[in-house]
Amino acid sequence: MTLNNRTALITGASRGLGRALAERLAADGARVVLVARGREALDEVVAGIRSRGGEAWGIAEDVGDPGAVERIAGRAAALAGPIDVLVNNASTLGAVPLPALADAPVGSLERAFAVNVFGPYRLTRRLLGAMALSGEGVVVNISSDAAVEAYPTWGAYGASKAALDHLTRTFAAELEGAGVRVFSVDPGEMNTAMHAAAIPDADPSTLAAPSAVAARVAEMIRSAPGGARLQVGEVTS
Amino acid sequence: MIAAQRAPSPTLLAESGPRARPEHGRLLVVDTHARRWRDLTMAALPALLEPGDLLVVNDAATLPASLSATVDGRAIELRLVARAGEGRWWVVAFGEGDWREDTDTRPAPPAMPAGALIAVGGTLRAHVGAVSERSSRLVRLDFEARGAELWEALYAIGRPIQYSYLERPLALGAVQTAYAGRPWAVEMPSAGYGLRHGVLAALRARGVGVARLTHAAGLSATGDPALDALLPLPERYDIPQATVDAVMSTPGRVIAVGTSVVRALEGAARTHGRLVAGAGCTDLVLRRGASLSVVDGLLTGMHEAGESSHYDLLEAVAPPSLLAAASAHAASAGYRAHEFGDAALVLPGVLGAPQALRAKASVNRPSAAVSIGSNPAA
Repeated sequence: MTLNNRTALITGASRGLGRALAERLAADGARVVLVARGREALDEVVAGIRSRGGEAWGIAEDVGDPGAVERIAGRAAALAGPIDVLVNNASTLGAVPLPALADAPVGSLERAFAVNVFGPYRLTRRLLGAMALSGEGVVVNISSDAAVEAYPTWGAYGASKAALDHLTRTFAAELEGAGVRVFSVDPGEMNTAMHAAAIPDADPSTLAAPSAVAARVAEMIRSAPGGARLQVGEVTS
Repeated sequence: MIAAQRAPSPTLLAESGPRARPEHGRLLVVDTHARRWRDLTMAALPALLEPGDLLVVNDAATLPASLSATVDGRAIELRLVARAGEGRWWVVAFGEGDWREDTDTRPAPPAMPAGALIAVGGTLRAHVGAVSERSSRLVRLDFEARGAELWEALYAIGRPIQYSYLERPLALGAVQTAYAGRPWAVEMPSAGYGLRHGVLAALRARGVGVARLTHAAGLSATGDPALDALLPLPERYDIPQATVDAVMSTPGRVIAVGTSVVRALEGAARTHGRLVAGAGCTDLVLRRGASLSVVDGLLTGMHEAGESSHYDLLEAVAPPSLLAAASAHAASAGYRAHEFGDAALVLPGVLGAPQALRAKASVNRPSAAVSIGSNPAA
């Protein structure tokens, strides 16, 4: 798939990897719809993309809110046309500082699943049918190595990302032959606000730049196979 | 849109709300060639069709088309009818009351002359830009907000149009098809309600094509007999080139999912002399004896006989006597009607030997005499 003249919806797009991906896809010629909770930060990113000649719109919604999916899908398609690429990037760590799993407030696990699993699930099921009819489409779910490895204190986040990975594979299996590729990406450790919240004393110079990771993910959107779980690995920024 | 027969006898009951498993709905299969029918379920659809057959669906998403508003301090309900350019919508106004009342018994709204200020949902302001000559309840609103700001407000304020047969209010997600794309429909293109993802996957596996077009399916009732008589109003559509290609190249039959798809395909074919891709607007009304140049059959929802434009269109694809008999059967067999109800597949040869009947109506066939009702509206 080429990105030029496609429409992409990116969640968690006001900062970090989501922002970098929105900027990357817009630079590659896609119309981009950015979703994030914070309107001010979102407007700033949208204005930046437009100032560079890109086509971008912001939708201030919380993907963890079950009622938000219809407002997001409806407004996005009204403004930018049918969605070709969905990037489920918005995530929450749960409680921070990260607690031992047995100390985590139960509500923080529920919130992690609401944002990291049910939000992507609702958006994906709402958008994939139209993609399948057009015979082409991509759904990218941003995962983590915490989905595979059991790191102490990362339980809520890791369990939610493991669930997201499994939804990814199941969607891909059900869409066999439909032309819609659903895959997940472990972006690795990046220099983002989320990483700082999880590991405040990490040395930023050891972390990848979100823009470098976004360039890799854009490549995957063009050609990665459905059902895959891809790792970005080392990037040079 | 198989209708209960026009003589009073068993009537179809309404399905009272969204189903947890729409794909488990019943399917009345009517063979217009063999002149018989069978009771099946939506799960049987893929096996009823042949590899190479093509379903064409309306992929319009359903708008939050019901808006609460005030004019001169009096509460009214507005229902979006059609977009009329940036920041402009034709709307039908209803007086006080809510969805629990039949639209036919709702009080009339206060006068809304051109220039009147309408406050919509507490955050939007609009002026009446025009009033239809057909009905003073059909007005064009010119909103002060535009573009993304207007869409945000409409999705914050609006709810899907509700129905008096419902047990509880509908959420917007409950009135979307499995393949909803651009929000163009003011009411759900409900013929495809049972075509959920599992059925669509089974159709793919069977080699049955599913193509799409977008049609701005309009209001089913306005509460104003003068306006109701004009339904369906002219509606815009957009047909992708890929769908035209699929229709022209399919070795099998073309089955329209819903009357909106028939109107778009046949309307486009008549406007241009052949099926061409692109956007358009159709006021085509098909009636008994009309010959169809694109569509061979129809997958449709169950509706009551009162919804006469639906019934008229169905008579273009099936003999009236067969329809009446099948409809009476549907009512006595307990099929459910309306947006969330059961469905019917009306297709020549569907219960017989399909190979003998594969010569489809064909898009290349010159249109024979047709009966086209022109449909003047606002």
